[in-house]
Amino acid sequence: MPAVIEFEAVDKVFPAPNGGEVVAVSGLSLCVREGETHCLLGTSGCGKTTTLRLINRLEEPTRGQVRIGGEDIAALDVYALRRRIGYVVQSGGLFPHMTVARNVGVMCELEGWPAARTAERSRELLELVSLPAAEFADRYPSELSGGQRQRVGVARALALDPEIVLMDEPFGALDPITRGQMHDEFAALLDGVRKTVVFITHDLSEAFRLGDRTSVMHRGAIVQTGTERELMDNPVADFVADFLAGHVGGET
Amino acid sequence: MRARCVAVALAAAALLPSQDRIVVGSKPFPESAILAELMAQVIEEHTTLEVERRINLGGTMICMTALQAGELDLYAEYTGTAWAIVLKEQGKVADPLQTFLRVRKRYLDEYGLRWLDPFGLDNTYALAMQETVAAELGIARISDLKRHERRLRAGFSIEFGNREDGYPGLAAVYGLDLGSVRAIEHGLAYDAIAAGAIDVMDAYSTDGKLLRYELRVLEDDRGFFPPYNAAPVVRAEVLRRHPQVGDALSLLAFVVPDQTAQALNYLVEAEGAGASVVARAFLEREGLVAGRRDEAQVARAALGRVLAVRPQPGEGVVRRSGFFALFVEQRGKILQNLIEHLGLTLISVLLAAMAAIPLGIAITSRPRLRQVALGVAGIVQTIPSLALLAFMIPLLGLDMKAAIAALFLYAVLPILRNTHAGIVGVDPDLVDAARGMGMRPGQVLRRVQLPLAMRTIMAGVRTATVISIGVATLAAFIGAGGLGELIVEGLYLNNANLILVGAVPAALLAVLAEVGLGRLEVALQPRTSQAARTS
Repeated sequence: MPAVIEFEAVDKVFPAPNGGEVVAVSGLSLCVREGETHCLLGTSGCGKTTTLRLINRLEEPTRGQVRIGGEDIAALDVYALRRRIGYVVQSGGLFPHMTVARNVGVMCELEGWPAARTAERSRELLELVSLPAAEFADRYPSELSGGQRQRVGVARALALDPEIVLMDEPFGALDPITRGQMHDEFAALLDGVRKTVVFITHDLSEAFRLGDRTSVMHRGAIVQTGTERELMDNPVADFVADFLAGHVGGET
Repeated sequence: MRARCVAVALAAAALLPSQDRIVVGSKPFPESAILAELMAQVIEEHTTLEVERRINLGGTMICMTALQAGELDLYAEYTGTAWAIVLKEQGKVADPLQTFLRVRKRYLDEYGLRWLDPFGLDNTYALAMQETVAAELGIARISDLKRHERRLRAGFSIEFGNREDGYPGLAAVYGLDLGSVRAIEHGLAYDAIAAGAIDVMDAYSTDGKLLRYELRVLEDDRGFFPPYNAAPVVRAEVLRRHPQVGDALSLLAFVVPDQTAQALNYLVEAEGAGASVVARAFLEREGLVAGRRDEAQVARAALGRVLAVRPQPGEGVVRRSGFFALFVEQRGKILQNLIEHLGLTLISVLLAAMAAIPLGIAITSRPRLRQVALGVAGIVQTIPSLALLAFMIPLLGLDMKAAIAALFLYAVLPILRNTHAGIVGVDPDLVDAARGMGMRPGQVLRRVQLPLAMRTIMAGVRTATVISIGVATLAAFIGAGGLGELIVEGLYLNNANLILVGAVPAALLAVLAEVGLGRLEVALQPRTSQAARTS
């Protein structure tokens, strides 16, 4: 199945604590091409995380449709869908009571893989993210640096060899030096694995460094989608121009 | 063939014990136990019925509940208690006969319970003075106090000194104004009066200590104190089915006047004789049962001595074993009670964990159910333990089942609350990551939430266990055994060391549970680093 992701006129409305409604995403249409790394760029609260979570059905659309490979994902088995989609969150989301190897292999285990094959897969993925298994497999997340934790998070997302990987500001909490290093490694990694990646960031340079294309989001909708060149040369709205010029501050 | 019929009949009889078995109960103090023994033994002697004893039940409320539930067939009650506590009569009635007749009528009409002829004793409040002092001053009646009121020093228990039906009311009726009135702990008042530190004290008119300390009970010549005449209270249905029970009990009518009751109580309280042995000796002496048991011989002799002559000064004070001696002496019973105690606690906490952990998990995603479950469990926790035990009697009878049910209810709340807190306390990002990876809800629970909540859940189990060990001491009040049995006996014999013999192991057990389960908590907590675990 081609891993093309399409949003068609999607609204997502949450009930507000005061009894009203919060519109997180409104009239959003988007096409993520197969094999591309697509960045969602925007300020905090612009709806980018909700957009991401609509892809693996951690949220369901209030209106509209999300399709993968032309199929409405609402009709698919939600667990099977999620197992086809890797998911990396900002905090890393590593389970503190599992070793690095088990964190990486936990979904293989649940899929009923033989222990040896799971162990082999963990080892292979740890090597892929530059964490020698001999040194790191038996460590616990508390014994890793922030950068190492994010690498484990990425390795875990790739465990079942998904067609799609969703990344919610995976490097947002890292210091600038580690972050730059991760960008280089991650870019190289993406070249090697050829996945469809949806990557959330509020950092312009990160978006252009890693993304094939970038969608700029504002107030629950996509303002413009394009390559670095297209966005820089031809911003369609004042917001995009301001954002690209650094006039709109990012978070943290 | 005939042998087989007999065997079948015997088996049927064993299966239907309530038909041929009379259950006799008592409240947790010696007099009630002695009266229960008197009743049990005359029934055994004069009928073919089997008698089961439920001695030292937790009090009026528990005895009444058990009687109404059919778990108990009879026990000895006092008219004054029935009047005020059970029937909640407001009016003050001082006439013993009128009180008895009214109580008897209302019990039959409202509860289907029959009051039989009284035993003769009136265990009411009384004023007492040292025999020698009273004789010297010529005081025999309460109104005689008036003549010496300025020079008399009184020591009253706090309750008696302040209640309207105690000294204030008494002073008004008799126009008394004693020279000094002090509040003093009741147990100490006996020593105070023996030492001459006070002249007048309040007492219960059948207390064995009156005999032991050579005190004279002053006659209540204006009938101020309400009557507390003791009599058998029997389920009417039992008397209909077994009229011979009524006949047997009628033998006890008016055979135990106050002085005799004092002597019987004295033998149990001060000389440590068992209530059954004392009762046996008395019944043999009265010719109400055939003399045959050797074990009663010593008590019989003691009873003769006590009833014949008052003890010489110093003779009545029986030395009691110290704590450690008692501990060694009672080790068999302590061990048995300890095992019962552990059994009660473990079974109820295990059942509570089996119910509360799944419920605690279920309520994390159901806010309305959460409010209801935590609310109900919280309310149950506020019910006084003894009341909760009493509620269980009609449902489950007078034994371990009722105690386990009550302990179970107490243990549910801490486990429920901690399970809920533990699950809710797991970092939501981790749950989100687990769901996003494609784990099913059960897998999220087992792989992520439960391991990370384990320590908090186990802390709830620990709290529940420690609470249960404490509350289980009350199980003895409904005859369910445990270390509380020693405590109840100690309370009833006013023997501090015996109380400690029960209380110390219970406290140690609680400390052990606290420490042991604390360790288990650490051991069950999932590792989060390669470093050796420190416990």
